[in-house]
Amino acid sequence: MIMGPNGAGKTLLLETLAGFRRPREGEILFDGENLLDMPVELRHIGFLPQDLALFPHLTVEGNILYGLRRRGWEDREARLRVSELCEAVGIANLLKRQTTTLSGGEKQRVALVRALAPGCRLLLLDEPFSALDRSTRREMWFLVKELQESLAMTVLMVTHDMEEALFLGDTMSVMIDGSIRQTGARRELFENPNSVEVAQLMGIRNLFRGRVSRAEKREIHVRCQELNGTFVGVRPLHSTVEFVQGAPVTLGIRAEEVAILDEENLNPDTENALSGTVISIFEKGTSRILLFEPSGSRSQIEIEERVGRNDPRAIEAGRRVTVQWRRESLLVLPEPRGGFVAFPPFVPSRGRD
Amino acid sequence: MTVVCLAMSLGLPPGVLGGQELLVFAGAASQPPMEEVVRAFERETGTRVSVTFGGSGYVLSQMIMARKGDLYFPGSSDFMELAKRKGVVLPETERKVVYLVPAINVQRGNPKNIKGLEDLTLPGLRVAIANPEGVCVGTYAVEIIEKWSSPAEKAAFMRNLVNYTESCEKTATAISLRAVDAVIGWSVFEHWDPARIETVPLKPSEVIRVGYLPIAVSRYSEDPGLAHRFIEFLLSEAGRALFRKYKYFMSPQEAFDWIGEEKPVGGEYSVPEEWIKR
Amino acid sequence: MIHRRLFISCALCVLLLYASLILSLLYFFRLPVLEQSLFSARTLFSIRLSLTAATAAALLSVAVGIPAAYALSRYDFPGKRWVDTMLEFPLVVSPAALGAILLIFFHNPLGSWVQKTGVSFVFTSYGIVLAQFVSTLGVATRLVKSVMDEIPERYEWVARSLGASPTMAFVTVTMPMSKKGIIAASILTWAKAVGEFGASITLGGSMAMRTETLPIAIFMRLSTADIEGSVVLILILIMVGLLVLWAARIFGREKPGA
Repeated sequence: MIMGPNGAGKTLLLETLAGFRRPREGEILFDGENLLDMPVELRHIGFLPQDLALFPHLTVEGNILYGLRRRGWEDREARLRVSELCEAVGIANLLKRQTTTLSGGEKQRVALVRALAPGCRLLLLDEPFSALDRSTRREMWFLVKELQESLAMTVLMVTHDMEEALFLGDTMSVMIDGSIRQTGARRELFENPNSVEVAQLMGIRNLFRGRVSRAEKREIHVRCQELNGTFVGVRPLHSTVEFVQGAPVTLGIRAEEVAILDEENLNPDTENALSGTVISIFEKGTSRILLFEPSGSRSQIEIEERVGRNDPRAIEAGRRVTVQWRRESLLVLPEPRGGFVAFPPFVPSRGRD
Repeated sequence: MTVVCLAMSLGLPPGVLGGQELLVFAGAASQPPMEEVVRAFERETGTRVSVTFGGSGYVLSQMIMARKGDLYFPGSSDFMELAKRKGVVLPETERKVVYLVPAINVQRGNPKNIKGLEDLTLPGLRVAIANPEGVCVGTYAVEIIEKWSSPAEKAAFMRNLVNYTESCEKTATAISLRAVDAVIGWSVFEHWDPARIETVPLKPSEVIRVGYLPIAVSRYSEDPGLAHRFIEFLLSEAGRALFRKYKYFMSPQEAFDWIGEEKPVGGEYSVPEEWIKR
Repeated sequence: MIHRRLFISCALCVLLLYASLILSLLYFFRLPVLEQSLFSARTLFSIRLSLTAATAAALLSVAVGIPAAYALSRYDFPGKRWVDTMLEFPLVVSPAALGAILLIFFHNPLGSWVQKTGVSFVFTSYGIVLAQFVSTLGVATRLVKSVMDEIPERYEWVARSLGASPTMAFVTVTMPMSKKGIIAASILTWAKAVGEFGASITLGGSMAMRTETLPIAIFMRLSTADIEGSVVLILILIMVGLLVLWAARIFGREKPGA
């Protein structure tokens, strides 16, 4: 799974792997073999572009048979394989249809089967599901997972949707501005992004500047002017930051991991706690977003909490509360490359789709 | 506003200014001297003269279709007869302006060493004549061949005939561009492009008739009197001198002298079928 | 609403303009001349020559134009910009000039050699085909190129990832996808070839029963002030030409396209 914002170069990367483009330098190693000089048709790498590129002059059957015919399959065997795959995927009834008359989901399946039919060792998917509606997209996720397992194939998929990446990706890489920033298991990237850009991509919206006030073996104390407080975080295992006193860092905290405490007054020694005011509240169905402004600060922290049927407390805008988070939740990140850009506060139209 | 400006930049149509105008439809045979004559006439009388050149038959068609024009000046008597038959010129106004003698024209330096008609039947030679259906000098050429050749010679000539050019000028150009080795054209072709064309005179017996350039006032003329003045200018000493400069023969006698014999001037000749529908 | 009416009026104006020009031919139309011309051997020859020469020239133009257009559309190569600019050369230079250029070409050493050892083009019907071919090649290439520009290269890449060689991808994907456009381009090229006059008459000459196409025959009639004869031939040319074009469009439509 390769994840990244638009314009990061993900499509370019896929196209280069497939052989459509030639890199200026470097090699492409697959199973120890260098594919750099191998022509596209010999690589046996399936490719599904974003717009699917179904051949309009062929029927569904013709499209799927295309790869088989080119690879010299005998007609009878080819048709057998086609019907098998189509049965498995649920499009057997569409075989004689023109590709232009299909719905979005149907087209996706046809394109998938077309790429898989001749057999490939690697399947490249370029944001294939971005144009689908929610429920169809979920169906496709399950389908891809199934196919991947039953055909024992490697799939390299590109997306900008975090949820999709987390659902499907066994190993994930984040690509920003043409370079891969971090690779690892999805949990790893989710919980421990190594930079501000990756953190943003992984859905972290609370990011604030600060300076290291004290660095210990296992913990880092950071003084954050913006939030008018000093916070403690766990020292990250791998970091590019030199944790010397005064070093500039960026603090990150997930909106879901900020808890609102019941007590209004608290022990001043409580770690990572802030008092302040709830500025506004946005209901979002199953969850609720609160914008919290710490006292003595002009910045706002976004808090997201699930709303159950029996909500013990009712918080209204203007109420003074105390918030807190665990030290494990606090991310201590290097300063972003290219300087610091102010992160806009939560706007209702953004957020999870 | 834009339209008016555009129209003015394209030049006002004749007549709008109120000055006098003449429109002449002329065969290409007379193009070189006509341009000078027209300029001289304009200088002398202040009348603007526009001349359209082309194949004699073609410009006649244009005149008929447009129903405009003051004078018709074709390259041969044949076309004047045609125009008279169609009733588009005033027959009583017809005058003979200059005289033309048919001859063989070859590339300058005469690389194929053509001395006379018999050389035109040599195998491998490329010959052209003007289209006898449309162009004066072509009709003359056909008559010459018909009257001179034996059937075998005629067949040989026709084998060498690679093209009918579509106008007098194109006949000369065929030599200039070296598309063919020889044409039967007018003796004046040499003077149209001296660097590239050379005239080989025919034997006196071979020349059947002397051509002439006739001019007449068109039925469509709006100012026949003015048109007459132009004709008179052509026939005046000033006009004649200009034509003579281009080596046209200004009187039948001059033509006879060049040929070496007296010949009928003009008249019609009807081209045999086989030359038209090959 | 105004837009619609205005635009439709423009379209109808085109029809009106051309139709009224054609109708005004009736002014010089004479039925007996039509009967006489229509079945004369000379006219039939002109019709046959016009149709066969134009078809041959158009086929050649499209045959060369398709790969050329593909190269211009997909590849980068030295001289590409030159090729692109030259496509309009025949149009700009005008048919008569084109004919003269061809004529001159055949009298340089290379051209003379071709004439002697190969085919003779000057004043022959091969010359007619050549003149029409030279005239239409640029247009054909330009038209096919714009068709191919519209087809994303991605389709060919996908075909290749499915195992097609570059040639196969071209033949099985690009060509079928551009079929409609290529047919339209061919029709236009053919029409242009049929109507070609200046270059054909200059290079091919105007001999009846040898190199006289319909446009040339029309001109020749006018050269003898035979206006009625010319009008009849014009009408024949219009009828034959439009008939073939109409049939080609119907034929193109019948195939089930995407």
